[in-house]
Amino acid sequence: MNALQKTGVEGFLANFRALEGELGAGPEWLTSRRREALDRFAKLGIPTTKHEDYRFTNLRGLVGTEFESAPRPSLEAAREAIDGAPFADLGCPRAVIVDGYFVSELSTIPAEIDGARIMSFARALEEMPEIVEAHFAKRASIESNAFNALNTAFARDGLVVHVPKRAVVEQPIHILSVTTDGASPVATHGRYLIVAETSSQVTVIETHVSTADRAYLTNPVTEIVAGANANVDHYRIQAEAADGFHVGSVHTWQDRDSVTSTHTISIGGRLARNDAVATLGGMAAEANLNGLYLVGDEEHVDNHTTLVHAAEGCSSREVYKGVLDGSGRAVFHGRILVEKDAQETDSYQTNNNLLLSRESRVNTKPQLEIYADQVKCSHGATIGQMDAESVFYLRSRGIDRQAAEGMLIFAFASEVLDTVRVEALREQITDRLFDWLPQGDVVREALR
Amino acid sequence: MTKMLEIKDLHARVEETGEEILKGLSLSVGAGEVHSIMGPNGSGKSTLAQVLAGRDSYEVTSGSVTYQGRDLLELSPEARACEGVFLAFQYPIEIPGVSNTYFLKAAVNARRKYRDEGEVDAMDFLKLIREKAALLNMDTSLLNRPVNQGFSGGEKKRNEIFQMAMLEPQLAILDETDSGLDIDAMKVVANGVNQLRSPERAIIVVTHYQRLLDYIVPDYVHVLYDGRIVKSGDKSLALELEDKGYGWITEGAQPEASTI
Repeated sequence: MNALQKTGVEGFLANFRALEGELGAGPEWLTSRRREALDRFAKLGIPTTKHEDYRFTNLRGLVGTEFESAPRPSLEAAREAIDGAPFADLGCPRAVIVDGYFVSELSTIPAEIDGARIMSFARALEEMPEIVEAHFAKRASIESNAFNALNTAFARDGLVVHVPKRAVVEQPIHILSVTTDGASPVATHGRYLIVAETSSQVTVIETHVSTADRAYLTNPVTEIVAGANANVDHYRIQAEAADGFHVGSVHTWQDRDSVTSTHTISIGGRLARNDAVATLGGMAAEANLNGLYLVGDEEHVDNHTTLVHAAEGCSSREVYKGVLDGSGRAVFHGRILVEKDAQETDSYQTNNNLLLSRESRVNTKPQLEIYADQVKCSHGATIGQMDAESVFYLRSRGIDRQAAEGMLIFAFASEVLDTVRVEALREQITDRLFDWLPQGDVVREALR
Repeated sequence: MTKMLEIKDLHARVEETGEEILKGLSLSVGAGEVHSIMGPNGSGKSTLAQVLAGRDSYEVTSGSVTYQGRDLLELSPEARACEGVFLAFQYPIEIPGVSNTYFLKAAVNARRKYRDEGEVDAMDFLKLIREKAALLNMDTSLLNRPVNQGFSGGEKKRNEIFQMAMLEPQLAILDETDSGLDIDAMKVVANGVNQLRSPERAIIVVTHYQRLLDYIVPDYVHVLYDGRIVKSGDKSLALELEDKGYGWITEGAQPEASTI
């Protein structure tokens, strides 16, 4: 069958045709949104470096790989894949998504927690179709983002979290997304929807991991709707395997007085592209965007953030930090759009990069577009090396050079680590950071 | 008897620019002594402090530094620290995310490891850290805060002396620890230093102002000018400098060798 397999756009279109019976089985509105998305994807194509938003991110490796749509894994294979996977257990209710499919046998999510309804995307289509229909593919635009369009065409499973008015979900909801190993490369398109109604509160954690030894593509899309006065914390941790491609996005829309924090943390994979889009749609809303990326040899991480201030008196705070080693590459593009009516906007953006090697490279670009006239907007970007004086300070206290450098990398990352409010998660991310550091064990010991 | 520290005809330059800062500096310091090094801005005081602690942005081109009979210049900064050299920084570094307590524990354990001793007992360490914090009137909340982050100037300097108290060095070098301190903070710092005075320990106080020496009374005072010690005396020299400034020494002064 190899002769029939195709790569790039053609490959995905062929996959779609093969699955058409299955993907076309849903409600009419869904099938038509899929069709529309697929057409859009075919038109947009997979972006090349000629595309402004992909100038520094070359998807050649992804385009050249033949991806199959992942079949539903056996329970045995699913269990094996999550066994020993990083970020598999955070001590809170967990929804397990393997190869893009919700696996109820491995999940510990009750159908209802503190009044919130939490269920697989497939089940939500049957049990709360009105919620899904009202929000699915409304915030994640397929207009210009080819991977959103791709996900929307293929999305058939994932998780939907609906938090009704005034409900407070005490425990974080953990979505563990795992890609299994197998003979040929697979693509998965998990879809996540979080709807938090007025004055509700919820924390959702996504961890995308894999045990695969071959190439694969994780293409998750998350839509978050924060109603008036709602509080939503969202974490996406990408700790893909060495040959994994991760291209995903998180879209947040906020009503008045709502507060959201989204965290995008990249600690693995061959290539990761994260798009975080937050729209402050109601007055006096607050958005916090935090990012941390650890980029090792032959790895590439690209973070694109877009903050849209569409209403008056909103504030946003954005902190992205990256550490690069070996031949690691990173891109940061932070766009802030302050619309005409968004008076009294208060926006702050910073991107700091620490280069540990000569070969590592960062491209960082803040982009401010301001159409209102009463606005406080600031941004800053730095790219630097280890500070020799700081290293000397630690060494002068008896700490050897490698441990000193490790401690300072930890210190550099800690501003973002400190924003992780779920303790078990913060500890596991910190642990990964120690694993990642050249002399991490020494630093781990020292800081115990 | 061997001195604790013997600096002979030390020449050092900034590695990057090649600018020579120390131009034949000699000084010897015995155990139990407190030496004050004074001098106008740019005379090389901080360079001397940094060179002794092993900062590699300075290159020693000639001369020698012998510490407890060993060639100090051969040792890495961390080895010097483990051998008992301590530098209180003029501008202490902030380390976000690393609490003062963890940092000190790492420093204490590094020293113990160097001496083939086991790790410090957690309870003993806690007891010690509380005791030393009390000595410096340190608010114990500072112990759990990240190293120097958000500390005031006075708190940072106090934290340096606190670290010194914890690490119990044989040779302590204080680089302008008094600069920018109000009188209360300075008294606390001076008191902390005085508590550490002992017959086994030597202290070098680098300062621009005579005021500190009212509280940390030195056994010897040296004037550093243009990379050399140009005058040495006892504490009365500091008082003289206070009255007359540096002009009478530095104007056309021929450097003299330290005679201590």
